[in-house]
Formats: sequence, C-alpha cells, structure tokens
Amino acid sequence: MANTVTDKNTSTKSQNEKLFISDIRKKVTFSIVEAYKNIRTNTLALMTKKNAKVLAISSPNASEGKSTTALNIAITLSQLEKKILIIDADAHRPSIHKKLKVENNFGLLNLILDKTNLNEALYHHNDYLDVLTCGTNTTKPSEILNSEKFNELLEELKSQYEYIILDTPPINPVSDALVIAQKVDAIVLVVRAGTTSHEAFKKAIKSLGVLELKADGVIINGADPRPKGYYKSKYSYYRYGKTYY
Amino acid sequence: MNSITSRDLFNIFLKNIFIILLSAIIFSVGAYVYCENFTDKKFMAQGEILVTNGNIGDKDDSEDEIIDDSTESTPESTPETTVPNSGPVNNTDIAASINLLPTVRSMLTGSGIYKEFANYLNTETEYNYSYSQLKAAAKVDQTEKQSFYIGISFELGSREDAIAITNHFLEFVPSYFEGKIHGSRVSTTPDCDTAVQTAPRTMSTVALAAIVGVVLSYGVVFLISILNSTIKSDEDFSARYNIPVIGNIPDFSISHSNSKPTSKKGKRG
Repeated sequence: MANTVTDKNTSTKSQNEKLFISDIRKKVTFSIVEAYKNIRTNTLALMTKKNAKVLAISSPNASEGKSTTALNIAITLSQLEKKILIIDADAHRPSIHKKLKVENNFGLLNLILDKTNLNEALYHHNDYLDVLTCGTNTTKPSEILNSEKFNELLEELKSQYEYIILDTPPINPVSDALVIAQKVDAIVLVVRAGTTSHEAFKKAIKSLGVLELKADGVIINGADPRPKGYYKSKYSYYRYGKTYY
Repeated sequence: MNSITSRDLFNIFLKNIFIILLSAIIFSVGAYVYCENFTDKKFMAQGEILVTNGNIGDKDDSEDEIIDDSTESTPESTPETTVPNSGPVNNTDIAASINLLPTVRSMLTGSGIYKEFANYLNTETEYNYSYSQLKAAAKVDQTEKQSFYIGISFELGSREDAIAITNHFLEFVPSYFEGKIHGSRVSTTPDCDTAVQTAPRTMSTVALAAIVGVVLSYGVVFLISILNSTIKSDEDFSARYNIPVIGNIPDFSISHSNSKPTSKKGKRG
C-alpha cells in the first residue's frame, strides 16, 4: 500500500505552509529563517564547486539535529524552484516521516529490495520537493544500503532531481553512515553546540578518513544567535522580525 | 589542552558575571545574617589609668611636659583629678613613676585586682560579674611606652555593661593601687561614655564573604569551562579544524527571546 499521499501537498499544513519543521517549536523566528537561507547559499556553492548532486547530512552522534537540518535544507532548496529529493537513509531511527506526519510503509529499503516501485514510495511534499522515507525492514539495513541496487537507485534518481539530500545515521554509533558516505558526492556534518564533544567529532572525522573521505562542511546547531561585533550594534538581523509563522 | 590566555579568563568572567555577582550577593547576605543573628556581639569601653609616685600630681593637658628641678609646677586641677599637686616635681619622681609602670601593668594583668573588683561590683553595684569573667573581659594596653598612662578596656556583651564596668573599674582602681603601692597616686581619665562594637566585625566579614563568593564562583565556572570539551561555537570550531562552517542554526530558546517587533527606526524589508 502506497503512502497515503497525493501529488499535491497532502500534509495538514495550509496553503501557506510552514517553511520550517521543528521538533521543539511551531513558530520560527526570523533569525532561523535567515540561518537556513545562509546554509542554503553555502550548500549550493559547495555542491556547485564539487559538481555534486548527492549530499549526505550526518553527525558524529545521535540527536544533534541532522534530520531536521536535512529536511529544512531540502525545503529551502526547493523554494528556489529546484527539483529536490530528500531521502531518509537512517534505518535505525527514521524520523523524516514523523516530521512530515506521513506514513512510512514503503520507502527506501523497500525500494532497494524490489518490494515496491518508485511512484509508490515517493511522497510529493510540494511541486519541487519529493520525499523518500526510509521504509520498513527488519533485516540488516547496512547490507541493504551496501548493495549495488542502492547504487543503481541513486543513479536513477540523479537523473530525475537536481539535488538529492540524504539524511544518514550518525557516524560514530553505527556503520551505515560510512556505507552511505562512499556513495554520495558531498558530506556535511551537523554538530550541536555545547553537546558534541571535540573527541566525538574527531572520531567521526577519523572514521571518514579511513575511507579516504572527508567532511566538506559543518553546520553548528544550537549556536548562540546573539551577534557580535559590528552587527551587534546596528544591523543586527537578530533584533528584527516577529515570529515568521 | 589549548593554553588559556588572560583574555580567555576575562571572557569567562564576563560570560558568567551574573552568576558571580549573584554568588557574591548570596555570600554577603549570608555573612550579614550570620553576624547579626548567630554571633554574640561584644562592645569595648576604654579608660586610662595614671599611676605615679606620690610626689607627682595629676596629669595636666600637656602630656610631654616634664618639669625639672628648677621649675615649680602647679598643674591645673580638674574635677576628675584625685590628688592635687603637692609640690615641685623632679626627674627622680618621674623616673620613679616610670619604674612603677611594669609593676602596675603586672598588677592589672594579674588575678588579684579582678577578684577584688568582682567583690567590689557585687557589694557596691548592681552588677554581678565573676572574677574570671572580668579578667577575660579586661585588656590592658599602654598607649606609649614612656607614658604614665595605661589603657584599660573591658569587652562585654552589651554596650551599657561595657561602659558601666569600665567606669566602675576606674572608680575602684585608685583605692586599690594606693592600698597596694603605698605612696602612689592614681588618677583616671574622665568617665567613659562610649563603647565600640568589637565583634562581630560585620562590614569586614560581609566584604570578605563577597570576595570569597566571587572567587569561589569564578573558580567553579572556570573549572566547568575548561572541563567542557564540547564544540561551543563556530569560532571554537574554526580555531581547531580546517573544515568550513557552512551555517549556524540558532538556539531556538535564545532566538525566541530575541524576537522583537521591528525597530522604530527602520522598516522590515
């Protein structure tokens, strides 16, 4: 049974959909909007520079905000009217479907195992953003993601989308992220200020280094938004704006 | 571990200044409450005793006045003096008086005088202090080494008692010394009417407590800061790693507190 979605925006959101998804709050401030737009700009520059189409968003440990960040990056990219696909590749703790409040009956894992087809598995969030949830499978996700079928699927999807964002598992606890990292064009790590230790980050970098991979960028989550220096006094965007939604 | 500069120390202080100030206030208030409610107050009243040999009269206003053999002295007598001057004073008398000082001081720091003083108080006054209490309360001082004056003070639990006991002692002392050292003359300073609080030293204790609060709290935040091995900010990250930071996502809780209406000076873009 396909996800209960249609081509149109099927979430409970209104026509003026919420731009950002947050686990914590429903309202989003201007500062966060600008932060993600900044990330979008830098991500596009990074992808263009590397001629990359597939971007993996990971983190050293769990609960550092990579899923939310990945989804928000995908949403902001789609606002540029670019065809974006976000894939939930975290088989251990899939969460994209929860954030979007859609079902997860069929997704990536089912697709790789030929238990469904692409049309059934894809969820069209809006005209420019499609979502491929993780799907359900209780057997060995690492082996499934390491299969040639996944490579073929990615190649097929590359032809259909301008950019593909993968929400991967954390690097340190499980090996899936390293498997996925070898199949993508660029890797961005999300770290949480005040939570992610330098030791954990170094361990993640080292793990990537063993495979001759490297992180192409880092996003600091939960940073202190108070501006410093020149911008603090006059042109501080953080002083502006009501709640965005 | 990266080396810590003085700027880092100052930044830690600034970042946690409210906690540090709050600690100082809490310590100060605690010290004040302790001083006011949990410590016994003590007050000290002071007087002076002048003991000379019999040929020297009472002290007049000039403490440095030394009268030689050729000069007749008639010091002014005041209502408080005990013995009027009875003749010329010579250096021998002065030397004799100075020689009395160690003896007098010894008697003032001994036990006998306070035993008799305790009896005096019990029989002649309404105050009832034991010999040991009086001896513990008494402090003997000498303002100048070559001065005839010996300071005596009593430190007791109430201002009124300190003043009263000191005054009674100043009344008692002349007869005591003149009875023990025949031919001596004893005079005292006028009645003492003030007593200063000697304990607790509230202001200095509160100030010290504030300093302790600042130091302790700064020590704690400093330890927490240097033991905190997490990534704190993009500056912290960029200082250690050669990986570009492509974005900072603000803390939701902080960014919500900063969410305010548009400034009056500008319009929203």
